[in-house]
Amino acid sequence: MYRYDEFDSKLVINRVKQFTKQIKRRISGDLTEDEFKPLRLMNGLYLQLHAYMLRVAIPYGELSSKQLKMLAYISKKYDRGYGHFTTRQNIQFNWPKLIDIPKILRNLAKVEMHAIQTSGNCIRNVTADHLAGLLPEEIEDPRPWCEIIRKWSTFHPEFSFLPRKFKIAVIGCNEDRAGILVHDIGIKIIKRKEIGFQIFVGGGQGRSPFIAKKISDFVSKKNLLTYLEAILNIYNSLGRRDNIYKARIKILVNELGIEHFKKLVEDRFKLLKQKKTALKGIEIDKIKNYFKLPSLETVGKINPEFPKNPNFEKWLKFNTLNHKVKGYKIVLVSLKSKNYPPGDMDYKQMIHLAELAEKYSFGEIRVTHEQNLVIPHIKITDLFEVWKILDSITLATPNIGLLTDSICCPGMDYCALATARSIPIAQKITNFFEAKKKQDEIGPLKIKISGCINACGHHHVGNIGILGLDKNGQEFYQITLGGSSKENASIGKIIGSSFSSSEIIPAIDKILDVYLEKRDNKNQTFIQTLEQIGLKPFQEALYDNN
Amino acid sequence: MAKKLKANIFVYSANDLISGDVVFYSEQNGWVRDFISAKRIMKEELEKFQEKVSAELKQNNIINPYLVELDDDGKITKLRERIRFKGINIKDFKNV
Amino acid sequence: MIITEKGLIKINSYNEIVNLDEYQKFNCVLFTKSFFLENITKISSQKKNGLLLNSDDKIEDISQHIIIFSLINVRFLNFKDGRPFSIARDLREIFSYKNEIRASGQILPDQLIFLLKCGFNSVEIDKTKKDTWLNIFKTDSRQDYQR
Ligand code: SF4
Repeated sequence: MYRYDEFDSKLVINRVKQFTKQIKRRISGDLTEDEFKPLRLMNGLYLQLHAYMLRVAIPYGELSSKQLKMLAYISKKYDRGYGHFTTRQNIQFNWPKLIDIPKILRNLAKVEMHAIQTSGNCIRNVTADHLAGLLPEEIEDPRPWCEIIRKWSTFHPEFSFLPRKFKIAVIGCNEDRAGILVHDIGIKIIKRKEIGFQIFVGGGQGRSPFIAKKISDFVSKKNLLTYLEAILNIYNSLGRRDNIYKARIKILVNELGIEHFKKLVEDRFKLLKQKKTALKGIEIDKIKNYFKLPSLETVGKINPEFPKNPNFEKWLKFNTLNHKVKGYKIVLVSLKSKNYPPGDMDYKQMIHLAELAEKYSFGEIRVTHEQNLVIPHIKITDLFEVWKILDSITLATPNIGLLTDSICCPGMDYCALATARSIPIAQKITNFFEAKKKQDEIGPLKIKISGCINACGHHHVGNIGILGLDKNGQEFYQITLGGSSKENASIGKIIGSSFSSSEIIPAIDKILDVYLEKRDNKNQTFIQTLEQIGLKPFQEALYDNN
Repeated sequence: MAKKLKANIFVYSANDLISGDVVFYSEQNGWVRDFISAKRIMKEELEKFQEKVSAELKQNNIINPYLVELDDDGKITKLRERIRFKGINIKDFKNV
Repeated sequence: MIITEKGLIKINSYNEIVNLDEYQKFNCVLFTKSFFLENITKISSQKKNGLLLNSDDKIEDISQHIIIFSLINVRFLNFKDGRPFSIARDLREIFSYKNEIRASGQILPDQLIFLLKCGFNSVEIDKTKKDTWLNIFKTDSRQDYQR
């Protein structure tokens, strides 16, 4: 795991001091709310529906036991005993007080955490594949690159007042688990003669969703930051500032066309090429050293006999993956149980999980963009024990990748911008389909739910997407089908008119019935089936008999 | 906040600067946490109260003031405002 | 009133002018890009010529003339509009401009360090906020990762 050096620690502490002073100036009236707002946003502090909300970065999803314990402490002491993991590898606290923020930030700094650039029109927390460094097929671990980008983008003097927020994600496998094609910049590590990067630009969700376009087929390691700098410079100079809905880079890329945009970037890149941002091999190696796999001892029994337990077996099937080291498994911890809103975790769970990771997984934990957690290195012989502990703290719901493992934004229960609630919909789906025992038969399927068009719940790229709307003061839900954030990324298509909150669950049920009936075999995914039969059979099932 | 206001009765709501808590404007006691004490403002008085609240804003005690619409029985009309007024907790979701 | 990169408070000595008469009158002048382009032949290298840019002005089309300016003043239309940061960096890094770059307009004291890092040498400030600016100059951290 990455560890702060003295320089990093000082930087974060200085920022805490600076923001503490800014808070004082705000309270004294020296700063108006209008002036304070961009400053607090750059420190992750929002005003939400009920209260302030603090968003803390978990850079590229990596979390230590010590850090998770601190998050537990903060949620207990300064919040209401829980936190919410977001789709961008952050955690949100829903009830902090403005005067407690300096204390919270100082506590976070003690465990090498911060809330810097988790909001505002700047380069946000860089995200990565949550299985980085764990799979045999990986070309190279994306985390060192995320760390390099994190440093470069932190307090960037030129790029802290961009037209709009800016999100970057990096992957090192062919399979995309980070949704790089729906990011402002997506980076894929590839191998040509040497290892380098493919760069995608202009993806995004929200009001006008776009799949990112390839801007460069190969950027060398040395030139990565220079290339990013060229893109950001063009965006900062030409991105629209007259209309907040048109300010993201995706609009610029689409208005200019990718070829024109690419030319501007490449010209700029040539001018910058000899500059200081060029990376030296020795610096790269220094960062890489932090991300070495812990020394895993060889395990004697690769196929141990487990006690007979159907719940455990189901969990083993859905919530564990093969580790690149024989004898180990990657354990996925579902935060989609019946009793909590998707992505929420209370402080007791945090403490127990931190202890579990300490004991069984070198104190390492990961956060996924699908609002779940990962315990990366579990010895096969420890699996039953680990399951028992997880089960005792409601963290062993065996549903990873299934229907009830939905992504869901906070919606109108917390969010000031929402047009409808989303958490109750996720919970109704869970209750309904668990009772019907249908999800195992269905297999992998992604449902994603957003409480408004901003699409924090990624509904555009859900196999089934649900978008909450306000129709004359009533909550309505629009369904899209066929979205994906994987390698074959696509934006879902709207199926027809929207459904009231009492109609939405039966509608989903009908959609799933059509899928079950029409798929050729068990392995044909929802997307493949949809491609084969089109929207029509689904529309007929939903609307014709009305 | 230039949305069209349809109601006849309103209350002013905002968040407390320091705690972030939801507060309401009461005529006697300034900004208070309980909705019951909130001043019911009639359509005709809106302008007068808008000025008052703008002045209040300069005191730096509250942020984000806006009008909440009530129906003629004095109940909050919008779901968003009802949720905001009631507050929420993780436990509210147990076994929905 | 301006604050310099050394943390000194000074009086602005440039006179903002709008026509040629005024241009002749002063020795230390500040004019817009359009004034410059219209009167390009009448600009005297004997004077201290200051160019006033807005955050949405481009510099590419006058880049071959920048040597004549003793000052380029970039005016922020709004502190959230970060284009001046790129303008200053371009002037320094792409166009090798060596003289003074100044920021003016709607700027927060909290942006001072970023401004200096992008190549600005001075900022025009509001008199009443002088102490805040000086305080931030003294106490805000200059530590960063960029090179
Ligand atoms: S999608 Fe809308 S409702 Fe959901 S968190 Fe984002 S802004 Fe809020």
